[in-house]
Amino acid sequence: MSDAPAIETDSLRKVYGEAIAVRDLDLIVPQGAVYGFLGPNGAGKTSTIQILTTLQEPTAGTATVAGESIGRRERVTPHIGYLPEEPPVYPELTGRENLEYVAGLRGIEADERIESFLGRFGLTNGADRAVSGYSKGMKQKLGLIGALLHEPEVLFLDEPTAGLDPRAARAVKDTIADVSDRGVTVFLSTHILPVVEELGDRVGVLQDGRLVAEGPPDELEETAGEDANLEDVFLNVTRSRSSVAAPADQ
Amino acid sequence: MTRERRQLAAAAMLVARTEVRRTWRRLRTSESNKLVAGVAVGLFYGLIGGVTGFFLGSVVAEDGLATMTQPRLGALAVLVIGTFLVAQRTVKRSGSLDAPGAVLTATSPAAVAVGVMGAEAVRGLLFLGLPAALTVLGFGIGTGDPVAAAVLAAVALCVLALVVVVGFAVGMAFKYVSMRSTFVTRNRGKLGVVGTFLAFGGYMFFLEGHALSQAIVDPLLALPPAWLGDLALAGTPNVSPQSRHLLGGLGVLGFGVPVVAGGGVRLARRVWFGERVRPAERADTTVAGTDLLGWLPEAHLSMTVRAVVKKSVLRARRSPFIVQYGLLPYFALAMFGVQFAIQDGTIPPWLPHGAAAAGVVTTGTAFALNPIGGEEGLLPITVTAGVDARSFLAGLVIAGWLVGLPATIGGTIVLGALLGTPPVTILALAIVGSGMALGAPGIALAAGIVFPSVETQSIPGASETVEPSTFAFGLFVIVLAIASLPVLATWAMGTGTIARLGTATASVALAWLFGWAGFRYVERQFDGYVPNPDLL
Repeated sequence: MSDAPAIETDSLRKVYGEAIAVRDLDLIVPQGAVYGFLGPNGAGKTSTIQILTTLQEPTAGTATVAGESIGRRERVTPHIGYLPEEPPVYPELTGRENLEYVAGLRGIEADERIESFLGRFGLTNGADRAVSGYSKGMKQKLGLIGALLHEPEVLFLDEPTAGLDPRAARAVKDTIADVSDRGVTVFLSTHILPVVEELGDRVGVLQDGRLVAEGPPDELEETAGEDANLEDVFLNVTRSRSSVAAPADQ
Repeated sequence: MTRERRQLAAAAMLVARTEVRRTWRRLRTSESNKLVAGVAVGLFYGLIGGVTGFFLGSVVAEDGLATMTQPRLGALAVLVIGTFLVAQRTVKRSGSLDAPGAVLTATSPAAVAVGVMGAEAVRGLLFLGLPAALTVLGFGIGTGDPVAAAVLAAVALCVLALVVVVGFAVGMAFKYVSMRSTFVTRNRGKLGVVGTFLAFGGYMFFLEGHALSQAIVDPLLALPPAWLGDLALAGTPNVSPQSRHLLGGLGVLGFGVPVVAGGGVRLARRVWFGERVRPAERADTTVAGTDLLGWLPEAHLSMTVRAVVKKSVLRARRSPFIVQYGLLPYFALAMFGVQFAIQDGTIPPWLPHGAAAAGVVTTGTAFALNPIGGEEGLLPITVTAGVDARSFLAGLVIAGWLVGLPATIGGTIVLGALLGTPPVTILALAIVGSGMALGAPGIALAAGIVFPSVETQSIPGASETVEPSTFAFGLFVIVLAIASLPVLATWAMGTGTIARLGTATASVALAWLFGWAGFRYVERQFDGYVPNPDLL
């Protein structure tokens, strides 16, 4: 990858029937950054991620990921890893078989890497059990390993810590910090603001498909007032929009 | 082969292998009842197929074939029925990926689509392999020529591949049209039920061999797909298909499989990555249909029972797929009636009898055929709500009675009156029908516990639902048929009034007995029921 941004979108737009999910989104995520992508439910976060991971086509606009246009799926997918909100695992297979499957699809020999990841995430003992018996946290870890196996340049994570106990959430956060240290760009969508506060280099807040605030977390917190945290920023920028929209909803 | 193509082929193989492995594990664990029943059914049909194959092989090898019409008709029937079944599976199940985010960002969608088709072909072999192998074996023994069996087997395998790719493409085309059409998205459930029944009707129509169906089929016999019948018998002694027909058949396989598979891959891309219409949510909060609840004697039924009845009726109205086995008997009745009318030129006099029988089946299967699996995502709530099994199951039984008893009695009386059936016969049919219908839901409950269905079927347009198991329906029909044996026997033998009265009473009593036993069995199962972790 050249010095180009890891992710760049230009007037990205996604329309479903009469509903606009993403409105002319302009976004630049530098290489190696952890980008916290925030927004209320239905703001368009998942639609944006699905467009950037080539799972949906934009209605208008363009985007590049790892320097490749998202219109050329076969050029983009080798560079990205994706963990959707619902961990993508097959319950009938064992944990190890799930990972071998993902490695096989990508055409990589990853036996040693699988063992290493299983050990690092504390899944070695359960690796040969069917995933149907896994807890939510174990499935999430397995999904994250699957997204990391091929050492992607850009990692998309959609609510990776939702529903996890503190220990499992810690493991996921450590992994994000670890891969970021190794230069991987992480695009992190979450409702759990302390996670972004802790890990994020930049934060974007999406509301009704529009980017309504963006910048490093500490800068955004400064603009929100003294002693403000990311939660205050989030509530401020989304409240002002909601209060405008509320009368129209009635 | 380039490196890229090799990698694509390897990924497709991996997808196919993994999908088959998943199916096999489900069958071995949570669906082991189906595996046992499937092997039994496979052996049964295998024996029939083996014997039939033996006799066909003997006759053909001995006398030859005057024309190739029958093999070609057979080839067309296999193509049409096979394509329909694969297309239906593609629409409801295999055309939707379980982990699209992981799979489609890891490899090419073409590899995934080819892998899914490959898995369907292997599943086809898994389910049909035993009867097909025994049929081919019987045919080979009958002809006394192993080459005949080898050629038939090879062509059958190629036809399986053709049917899978065509069915996949047709199913994906249907999914694509569905996701792009607001009308289809809004009415997907009703359209699916009507479509399935129309397909069944079409099958019956062509099976009948009426002049109109022949006018449609005859030209098809002159087209290359029908020549697969010639190809299948190419190694059989005393059969000498023309070489142009053999070449045509080979051409269909050689060009058809890759070309249609390519089309299927393109359609799969459109379905997996395309946009679906999202019509504005309808304000469909009416409770039409639940006015039937007004018939329930409020004082005698607990709130739980009424809640289960109301839920059952509402869900059936909004997602008719759930109650497809309740609608099936009436459709079959209509189709057999039309078939008889076309063939005989008269309205079948047995329609009132059929209406009574259909009413019994509907009463049983409409709501009671999947008592646990039918709860779907609400199962944890149902189990932890403190609802006692008797009330819950009574709700399902009463919902069946509420819809089925009026249908049984009303259908019998209306059709009987229209056809001039003697009033005594109408009365007898209505009494026996409604009597047996009272026991039918209990039988269905037990069948639904033995063969629960929990797998979600995706209906084009994003809806998902759990349909009752076909095995459960089969078991229900078998038990009901056993209960009906006394009355059917006297009807067939035309015995006197007293004997008829006795056997009718016996059938009603058997239906009640089986229904009561089924209810009690399910009640005990439900009280101690611990949900499979996969369902929570």
